[in-house]
Amino acid sequence: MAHSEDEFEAIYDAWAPALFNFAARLVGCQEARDLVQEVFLRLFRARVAQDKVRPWLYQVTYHLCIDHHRKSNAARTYPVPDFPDRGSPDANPETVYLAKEFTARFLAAFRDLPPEQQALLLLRERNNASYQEIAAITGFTVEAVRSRLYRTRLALHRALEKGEAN
Amino acid sequence: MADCSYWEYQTSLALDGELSPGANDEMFRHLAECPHCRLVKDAFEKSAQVLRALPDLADPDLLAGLEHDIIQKTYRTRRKLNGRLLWPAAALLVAFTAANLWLGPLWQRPALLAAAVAQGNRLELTFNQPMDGTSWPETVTKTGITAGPEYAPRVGSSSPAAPLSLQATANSLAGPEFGPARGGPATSANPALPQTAQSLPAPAAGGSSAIKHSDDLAPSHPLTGPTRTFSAVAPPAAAPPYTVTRQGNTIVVSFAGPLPQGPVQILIPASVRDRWGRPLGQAYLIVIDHGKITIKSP
Repeated sequence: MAHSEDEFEAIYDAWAPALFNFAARLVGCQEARDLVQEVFLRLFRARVAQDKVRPWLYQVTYHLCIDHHRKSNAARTYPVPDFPDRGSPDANPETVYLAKEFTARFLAAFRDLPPEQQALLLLRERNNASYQEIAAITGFTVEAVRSRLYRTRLALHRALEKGEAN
Repeated sequence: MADCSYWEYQTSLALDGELSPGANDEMFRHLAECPHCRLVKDAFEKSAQVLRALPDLADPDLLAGLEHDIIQKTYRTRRKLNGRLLWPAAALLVAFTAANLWLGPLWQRPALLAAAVAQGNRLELTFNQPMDGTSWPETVTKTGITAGPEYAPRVGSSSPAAPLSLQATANSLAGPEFGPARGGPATSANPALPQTAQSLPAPAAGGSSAIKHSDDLAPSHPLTGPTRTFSAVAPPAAAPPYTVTRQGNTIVVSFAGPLPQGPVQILIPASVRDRWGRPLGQAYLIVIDHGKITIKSP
């Protein structure tokens, strides 16, 4: 059953911000806008049951992002806003500086990861997706999700260690 | 260090809440003894914290504009398209209905002889369309039956029913037997055709006596003109007397004697039409072979 306009708007309002954030971390804000638009145009044409809308949306977004990475090498140069100063007004300036510096190094290391690994970490840490949900979105098995998440975390840790040493 | 990859993996699972309480306790016992694994665990946790603390990139204005664009491209476009398609679709429907009322059902096949059945001395010819009720008298009075080898389908010269063939100079053949038997309209315009057919002599064996204008059959000569081959010039054979009646879209031909055998031509007057006004009138060729009937044409 196709969604009515009201249902469609409700789905958009509920999921578009999260999908945009997910896509923007993978492909950049400008591309994320186009990808999210494509996802919802596909939703308009598809007949997705109400209880399967969320995994369907993430699945389509994930695959569009991965396809985008495969098609262009611009993935590593997308502009993402800097980590804002989140320190409290009375925070130690040195602590704030170290936190910003670590976040910058973290984001650089994160962007160097393969897009599939970036997506796994984002889905797990930012979207609180379970292993089963991640498996449904990415098409990996649950066991593969488990081991890939471990390898991704380890790769990130080693990249940060390497950066620190340099 | 070599053994620690297992504990690193366990640390990752513990971070996701995937370890059982027993495995969790075991992992913490290892962490208490292994500074390397404690470092890895801290790094995993810090990465998760940083990722969770990253700001949202979605700008509400950008998302509102995007929603507007998507709705325009989907629901509004479909609504506009539905409005635009309504009138052409309605016009097409009206035109189709009018054409059906005026010309008859467009999905119907044209009127044709659908079946021919022999029962005793009766020949029943059924058409695939009901006939026009006003033209039935003409069906009865003007339907012509002629029989003979000249109507045989051209299946090969070895067939016993093959048409005669002779050579003559161009334009030298003339006479009533060469016209009505071939031309549909000329024959159908002649209501006395059955009688004409009956008045003609039956062809003799070999067909030579059927050739009336023997003086026209001068041998080809270079001075008198080119030689051409004509076929089916034998005159119509006599068919036994018959009467024609109509039952619905079936024409029943009752012969006074036994059914003629071999090729039989049935000429329906051009004025006979089906109920939609399409003409049934044309020449049909059937072959009767001891009760078995084959429709050869059209």
